[in-house]
Amino acid sequence: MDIQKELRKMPEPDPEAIDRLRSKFRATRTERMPSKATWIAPALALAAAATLWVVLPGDAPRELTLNASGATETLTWSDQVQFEFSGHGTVSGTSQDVTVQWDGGRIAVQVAPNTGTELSIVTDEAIIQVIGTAFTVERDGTGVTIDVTHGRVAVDCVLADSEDAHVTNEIGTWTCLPLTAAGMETRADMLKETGASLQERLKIVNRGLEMAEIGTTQHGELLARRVEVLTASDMPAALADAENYLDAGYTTRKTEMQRSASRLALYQSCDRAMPHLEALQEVPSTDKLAMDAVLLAECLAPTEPERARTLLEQAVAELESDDLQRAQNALDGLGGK
Amino acid sequence: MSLAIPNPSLVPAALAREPGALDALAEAWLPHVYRWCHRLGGPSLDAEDAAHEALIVMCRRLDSVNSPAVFQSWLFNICRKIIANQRKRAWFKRWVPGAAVREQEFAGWGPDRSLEARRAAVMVWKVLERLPESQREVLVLVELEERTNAETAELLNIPTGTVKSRLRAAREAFRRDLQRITPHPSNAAPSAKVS
Repeated sequence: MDIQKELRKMPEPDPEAIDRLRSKFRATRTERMPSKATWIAPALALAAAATLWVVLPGDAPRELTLNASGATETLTWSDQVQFEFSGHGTVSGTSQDVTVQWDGGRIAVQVAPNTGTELSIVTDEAIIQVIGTAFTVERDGTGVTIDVTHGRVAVDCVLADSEDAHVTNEIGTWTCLPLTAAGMETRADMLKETGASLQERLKIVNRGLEMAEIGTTQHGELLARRVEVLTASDMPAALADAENYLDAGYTTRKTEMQRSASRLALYQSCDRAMPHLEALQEVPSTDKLAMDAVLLAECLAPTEPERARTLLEQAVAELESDDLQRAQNALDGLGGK
Repeated sequence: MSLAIPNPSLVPAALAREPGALDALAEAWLPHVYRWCHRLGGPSLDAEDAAHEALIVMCRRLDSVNSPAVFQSWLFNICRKIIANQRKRAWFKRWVPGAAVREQEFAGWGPDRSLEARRAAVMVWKVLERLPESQREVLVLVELEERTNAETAELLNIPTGTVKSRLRAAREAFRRDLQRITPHPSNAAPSAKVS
């Protein structure tokens, strides 16, 4: 169906009506504009009508705002539909054709089966449609999670967690991904906390990087998260990302990225790692690590033994256990005291 | 069909209270305001009345506009509120004996338009009217006014992703409802959506 073509079947605004409106408006403007006081009576009448609109029984279209922060509230929309929610949104429609625009929080839906009731929950990330079932929708910064208790639903994510964006007629849990880089960053952190696989985390970070504008803090943060994930699986790629972070001039995690780059580069060669190790000697004293000096000294030993010795002697005072032993061995190799 | 956006310089001129600028601004936006009311209000709303009210509110409250850049979105929001109020009033009238709701007439349509075309138009209008307000708005702005998702997002003051998801939901609901009420042999088949 061509929706635009169907919509164009509607009558276009009548040019004569526009002329009438223009005349009416000019006439109003030439008179004194009505004061606010003259609007009080109609406003009160309108408020009364609106109140009646809410309380009158019947199956006319209705619209209600759902707003419960903290405690869970219950709304019986009709004999067929009941909600339990903590969060905010809007519910509209008739008893048998209901649409919920869900803005945030958790909403549990009970729809009586075999009543022909159609219900949709719309979030920025997904549309969930249901006939005769029970399910919950939870929306937070990490996306939307749909947990189907029983019955049937159709979930249509804008961005799905799995490859298949349309899941229908199955019981289980589905996640629709957030639509912003910030949401992807939050989701990546949540996945890390919950012990998700590196592959899952990498997928989310990559999606976030596709959304983030290069040069923004958001892009830098996501790049740093990718370095962390790739360090365990693809070190050359992690090194490239860390160096991209530094080249782009991001500052919030500069020392951390410099350190990551130095360690990743050492797996290739000292020459590759030296610029990063040298840069780490320039960071503020609060961010310095004695081990950075030991690694630099080890690389410098063949060419600049005196500087290597100085670095190691300074580091030894701050190191403990295995790190201290490593520095001591390096000093011994130089013929130190 | 989209209308050209009126001269942007009218807004700062009206905000600066230049003589005649407020009237010029209102007249320039009058066709837009009427179209929004006509399309978003549905057949049971008096679009002329709603547009008139919106223009009066615009003139009275223009001082509250912080920047000319937000004027269009601000004006659209006035229309939305007035339409919502008038729709509730129209609904209430159905319960008041003798207060029949005025159905918009096809004043612009000549006798050459068939009865069938008129029926089709009323059906489309009514299906549109049944959509939730948030979906009706994006459908009208994108499909009828031919605005881009970004323009629609700016007008409604919502993210572009929200426009996309609402548009998708609106298209789906519109298609479903229109098919449901359109007399067509294929509609006699049992629905696939049976629990």
